[in-house]
Amino acid sequence: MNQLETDIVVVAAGPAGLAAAISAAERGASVIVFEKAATTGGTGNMGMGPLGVESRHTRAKNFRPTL
Amino acid sequence: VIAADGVNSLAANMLGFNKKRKFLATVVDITKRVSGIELPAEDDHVHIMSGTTNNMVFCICRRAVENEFNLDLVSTYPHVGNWDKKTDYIMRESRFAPWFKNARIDETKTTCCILNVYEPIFKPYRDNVLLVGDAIWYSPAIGIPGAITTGAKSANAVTIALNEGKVNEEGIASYLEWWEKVTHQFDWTIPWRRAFLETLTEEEINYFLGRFPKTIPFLIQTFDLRMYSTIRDMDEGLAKVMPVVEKERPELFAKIKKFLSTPIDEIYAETAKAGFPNRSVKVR
Repeated sequence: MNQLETDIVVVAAGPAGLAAAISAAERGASVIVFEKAATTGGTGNMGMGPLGVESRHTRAKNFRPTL
Repeated sequence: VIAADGVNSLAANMLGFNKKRKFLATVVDITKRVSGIELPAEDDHVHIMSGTTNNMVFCICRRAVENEFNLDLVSTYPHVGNWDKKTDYIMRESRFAPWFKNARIDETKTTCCILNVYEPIFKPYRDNVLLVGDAIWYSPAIGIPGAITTGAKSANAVTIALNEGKVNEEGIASYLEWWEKVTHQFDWTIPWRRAFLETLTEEEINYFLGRFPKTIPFLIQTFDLRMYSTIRDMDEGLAKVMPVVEKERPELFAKIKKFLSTPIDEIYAETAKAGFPNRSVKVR
């Protein structure tokens, strides 16, 4: 078994996990993301997911996630 | 560790967060990919309760792709029934059937999920694990924007903690304070009280919602109280509508009043008992 070293471990690569991983990496941390599924995206691939954050429809209504 | 492993979070379970969390129901969700729905208004999301289909809610979510929609059918266990019949009813027989006359389902893209609905985890940190996304609340409350927000904010707090050499609760105190503030801004049970619509018949729903003074706007943002401004709109509507209902339909008024004044544990007693965390099935 390989032994890996990292600053932050992110468990699961859905919208929350990927946002965390990207945010941490942008701030200079090393990150390992674990995902059990065959694809990333988690709930973002499901019914609620494709509400289209930053899509034409959400932009038209001026909806913006606020960090 | 940042645990973002979803609404049925194994991390939350293993760390013992679910032992004392209030649990309401197991929600079963089937999503069908549909093209060609003709909505009466250019809106992003239509959320509809359908009383005659046994405690089922369905909503239409516009996808980011032109002319594509998710038809989302939601029910609480153990009330789930035949999804195909329910879909057929919505598309062919319900009052919404005219929206679907040119609609086509792509069955190959049907998805499903199971959501165990707990109260939020008010302090999502234990043993150097910080939980984010719908691991700390149920998916519809968090939403995709909420998942991204908690993910990015938590990572920001953790990287600052790492840089300051405070890999502990003190290091991420600002994030925990923010989340505590979010969860205490409102009564988390309120949206679940609005589920009284699910207990009405289709005729009662049509009568009741037909008396609302304005369309309740769709919300996509989480945590900025827009969700609760929608609830407030509903409450304002309720305040105006209920005296009319009391006069015109006293039996319906009594039904709604009873639901709204019943403790949340009592309302969801049956679904909580039948929900997956409480089932006495031993997994080997």
